[in-house]
Amino acid sequence: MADLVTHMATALLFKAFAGRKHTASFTLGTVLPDLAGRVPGIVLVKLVGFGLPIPEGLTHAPGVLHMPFGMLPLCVLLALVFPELQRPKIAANFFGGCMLHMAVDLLQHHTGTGYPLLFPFSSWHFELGLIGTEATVLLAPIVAPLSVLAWWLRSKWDARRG
Amino acid sequence: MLQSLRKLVFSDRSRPYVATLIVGYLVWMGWSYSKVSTARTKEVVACTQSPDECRSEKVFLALTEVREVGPDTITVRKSTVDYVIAGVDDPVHESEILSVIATIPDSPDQPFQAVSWEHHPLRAWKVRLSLLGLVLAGAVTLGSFRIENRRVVERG
Repeated sequence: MADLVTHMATALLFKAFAGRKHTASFTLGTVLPDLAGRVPGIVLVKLVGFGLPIPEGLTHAPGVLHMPFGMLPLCVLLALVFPELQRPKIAANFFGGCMLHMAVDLLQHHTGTGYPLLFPFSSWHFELGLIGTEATVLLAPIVAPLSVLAWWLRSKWDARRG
Repeated sequence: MLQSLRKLVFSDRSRPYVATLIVGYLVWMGWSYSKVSTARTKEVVACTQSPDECRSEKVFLALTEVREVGPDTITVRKSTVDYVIAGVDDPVHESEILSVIATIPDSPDQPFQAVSWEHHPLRAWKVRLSLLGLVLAGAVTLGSFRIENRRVVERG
């Protein structure tokens, strides 16, 4: 996973070019895979470190929410708390954000592993391996302000056009 | 076709059934994945018990936490399992994040032998950025959504 600031910045950049509608849902979509799929696993492993008898399998289970075939139903599930007519667009923006998250994560290189993109249908792992796992730490201070600026300029432009 | 599928999935009438179905599917998927991912750990442990079957086979331990640094070995933790590894001859300190490729030992009382390893010196900064991201995500959620008639709606 890349850091969450970079993921949110990519969401703002994307929406600055693609149109600002449902920016909040899309931005939340870009952090959703880590919030739902990584944070619970990290917390459970920490609890094991404190001596709690948590089975190893349980620490891996939330990881399915960081896979496309886990993200899609999660986005639909979350969209169900919105009003009926808005649900399809909200779910699409959540899932679009998740896919952008995956695209950024796939750029990374992990030792001997990749992302199981087709689970539960296949155990095939893949990543492009173009950047290190911490490369976004150096990019975040540049990309984050740029994305906010791009989004602000877009909102000004939209306001001028009425 | 697509229109009727959309209606089926997102309508108020089918909402409880769709939600139940999704939760059930995600629980099954999580259970399946936990079985797959723990199988490899069990395989490695079995290999250390009967090393002849997998002599010199490699294990990939990405992003492990260094738990102990001994005179000749280090202990790293991947998920909930500790691995004792020899052959990392760079300076390593406790709680550092390290990725290691190592060979399975010839007997259970011997350490794994490191073939290659990678330090992650910026990991602490990545964690800090992600914590900042968590706070920002919380702010986006609170600032961009509100509850109206028992439904969440986007502001603006």
